[in-house]
Amino acid sequence: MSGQSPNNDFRVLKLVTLAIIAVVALGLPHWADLGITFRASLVLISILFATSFNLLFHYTGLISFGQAAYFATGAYVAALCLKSGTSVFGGIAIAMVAAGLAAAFLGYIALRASGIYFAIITLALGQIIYQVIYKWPATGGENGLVDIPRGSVNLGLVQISLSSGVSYYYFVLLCVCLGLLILWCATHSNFGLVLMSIKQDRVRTSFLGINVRLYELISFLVAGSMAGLAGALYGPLTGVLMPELATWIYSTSPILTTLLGGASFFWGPAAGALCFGFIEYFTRTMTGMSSLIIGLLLLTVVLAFPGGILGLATSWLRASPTFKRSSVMEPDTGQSTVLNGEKDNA
Amino acid sequence: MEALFFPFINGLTWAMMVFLVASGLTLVFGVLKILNFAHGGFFMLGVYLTYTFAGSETLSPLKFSLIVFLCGVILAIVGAAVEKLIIRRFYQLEEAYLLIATYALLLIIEGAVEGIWGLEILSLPCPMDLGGGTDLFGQTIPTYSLVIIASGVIVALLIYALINLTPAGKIVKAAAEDPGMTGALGVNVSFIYAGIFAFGIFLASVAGGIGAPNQAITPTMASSFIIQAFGVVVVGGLGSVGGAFLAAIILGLADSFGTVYLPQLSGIAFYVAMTIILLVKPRGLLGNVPTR
Amino acid sequence: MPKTVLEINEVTKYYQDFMALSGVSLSLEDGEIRALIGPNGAGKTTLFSVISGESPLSRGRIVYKGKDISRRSPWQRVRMGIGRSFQVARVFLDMTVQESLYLSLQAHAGWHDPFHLLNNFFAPPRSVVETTEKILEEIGLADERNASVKTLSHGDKKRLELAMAMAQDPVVLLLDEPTAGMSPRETTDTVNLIKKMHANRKFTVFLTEHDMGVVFSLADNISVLSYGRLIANGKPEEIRAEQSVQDAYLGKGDEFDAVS
Repeated sequence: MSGQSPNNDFRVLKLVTLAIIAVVALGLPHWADLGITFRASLVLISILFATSFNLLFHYTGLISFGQAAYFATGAYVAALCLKSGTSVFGGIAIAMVAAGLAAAFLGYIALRASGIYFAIITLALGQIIYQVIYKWPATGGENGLVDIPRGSVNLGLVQISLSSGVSYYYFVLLCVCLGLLILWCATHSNFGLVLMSIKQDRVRTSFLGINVRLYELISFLVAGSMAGLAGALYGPLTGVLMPELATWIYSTSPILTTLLGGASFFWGPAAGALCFGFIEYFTRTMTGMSSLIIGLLLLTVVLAFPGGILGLATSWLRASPTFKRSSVMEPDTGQSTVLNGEKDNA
Repeated sequence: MEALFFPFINGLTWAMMVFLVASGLTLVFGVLKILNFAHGGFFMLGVYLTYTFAGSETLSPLKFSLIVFLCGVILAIVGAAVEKLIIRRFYQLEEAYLLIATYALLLIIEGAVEGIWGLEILSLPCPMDLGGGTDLFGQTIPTYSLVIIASGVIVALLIYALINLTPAGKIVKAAAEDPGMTGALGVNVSFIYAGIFAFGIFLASVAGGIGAPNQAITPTMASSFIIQAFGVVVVGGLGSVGGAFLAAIILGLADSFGTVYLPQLSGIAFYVAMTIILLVKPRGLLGNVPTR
Repeated sequence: MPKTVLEINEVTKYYQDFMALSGVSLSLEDGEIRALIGPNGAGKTTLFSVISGESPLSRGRIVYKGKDISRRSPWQRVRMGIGRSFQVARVFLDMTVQESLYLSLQAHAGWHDPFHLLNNFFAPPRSVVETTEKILEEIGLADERNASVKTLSHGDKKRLELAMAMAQDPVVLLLDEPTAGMSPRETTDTVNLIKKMHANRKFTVFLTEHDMGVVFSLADNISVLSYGRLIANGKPEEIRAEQSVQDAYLGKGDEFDAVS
């Protein structure tokens, strides 16, 4: 397969895309103002948040309405750590552990049900976390947490302060890339293969001697801790945390993002988050327009392009003469460079 | 006595309010197998339409009922159109996509309401003679609470009678159980689907109209009510109107007594009760309709 | 004296009021190939699903290597060495052939290795890759290794499922109609494949089958089930002569080679 020209062309296209994205992401603070840099940091965070959701949704086949609760758990734990003087990385690590454990615990309860019942239980459990944050004095209750410091990174010789918008942007970029790398490895390895098999037929999977429940819990743990990492980056960025972050309404945002970008692609949630970033930027002054436009867009996507943006792009590429006949950007079924050495895959 | 009486009435009022929203939701699920987020949106449209037609004057109960009914009919027509143009395309989608598509509809309705009526909190006066208090067992309780409780019970009985005692109800039941077979017997199943969807929207709108004088009217009410209604529908057992009635009362009382005895945990009791019931009975209290 | 590996002891199974199995007792000896036959609806698939743990039994015990496994969950039974295939091949349609075998082999490698979860995040070890190659050759799907499972023919899907079960080195392999729906040629190939694998690995096979040609060419012993009861047990030639077996089949007007 690797010798065919369409695939080589495709490899070039992928490299070029990657290079453009890298250049834009790295250079952004130099040509954009602070407002846009701030929005870009937010987009990066929602990319990680949405990709963590898609681990559960596309790979394990679970639709969770509780992601915001894990995000908020990470955000609050990290913010409280930073406020009490913990180092940046220490705070993030504690936040990830807390969010991962919260997700695994709630997942343990919710996994006793299936289908719509599972979705509704994740929603209810997430709302319990929201109520706890809302009522508990330590989290600032309904007033939220304010004045969350960004701290600084100690590199032995140099101490880099993260207080400027630009340095914090680079810090977010680094953490999000690391988080995505972990998720990429999780989905493009045997672990991802097991999750896909569970999604396709959980009974059959158990007849391969696989403890399905254990794998589902681990996927909750990984997805929860990645949502927690996204949350941990969010608090210091905005400086303020409100309990509403934990509500089910906020849980729908990674769902929308993922579907818009294309749930069956690893990079789908990222594409969706980027697109949402633009929509929010251009509709920021219109009351009500934002949810109206998002609703219409989502409806169109679900009805007309269930493959999302990347699904659409793939079918365009397939139709173009250059990439015809090639297996351009197969939807991500877990087949991978890790598994199939000679195989070309995203 | 007093300590028990008020949480009981409050819980019951809340329960019947949520049941009014949930009844249409569970009915539509029973037949169409769609858990419809947009139901909350139509509930909210019912509130805003009633608010617009009723104006700020205090109306007679009869006139107010008429307005509520009319708004219900208008929205039922809109609902039938929505079913024909949009919902119908959902039937082949996966469960997850179906949920999300109806959520998109909810977002559209929320955006439209924000655009038309704005973000500020509105309120509607109670109809004449229903705004005060009534003495019951030596305690004074808001008359309008009794109106809501009575409406909930009446709607429950009405749906029961419609489904079990009329020929149309029997056909609907058959269509819910086996649409293929019912279609083969010469029944127009897609007409029944549209009809049930429209009837569900009618119930949502009437619930909005009845509830309008009793709460703050804001564009966020759709999402808070739909979640409570979802909870009630799922705990009751998807598709079971009787189950939803029972679940509403249990969850309503759990929430109001929880708030009285553990005030710091108010709002949590509802979700805790819901989770426990679903863990013990994963298909809900009276659930027997298989999900897709 | 041959060793008993799996003992089914007075197993009864109800579906609500319907008794699908009624006091079935049977033991499998190490290394034998035993066929379970019987008319449609006799309870063959039910017996398999009870043995493998897919559905719980109502009464009785299942003893495997001296241990009562009646309450173990399916994945635990598989790990103890009881593999199975399904009547309609249940394979993972969205995977490739090679991935399916990796999945099965990696799972097997992880059963007794507490660190396998970590192993999960890296490329498959050399041993897995080599075994996969060997199996692909053995089942004749080497050229299809990168084909999506959903594009395979029905017969190839069943062979892949067989290979996935075989890859895990089962002690007892339950095969639910391994040749159902296959063409005569595919049937012959599959019978030969089972014979070859059995000769190489010496596991115990318990299979149901409608095709009597397959049954008589594979089985060392035959058990006959009718209306949830075991009515006969013995060598193929004994079963052929048994009057009650002929009644069970011919009395109902079923054909011997009917495909369900």
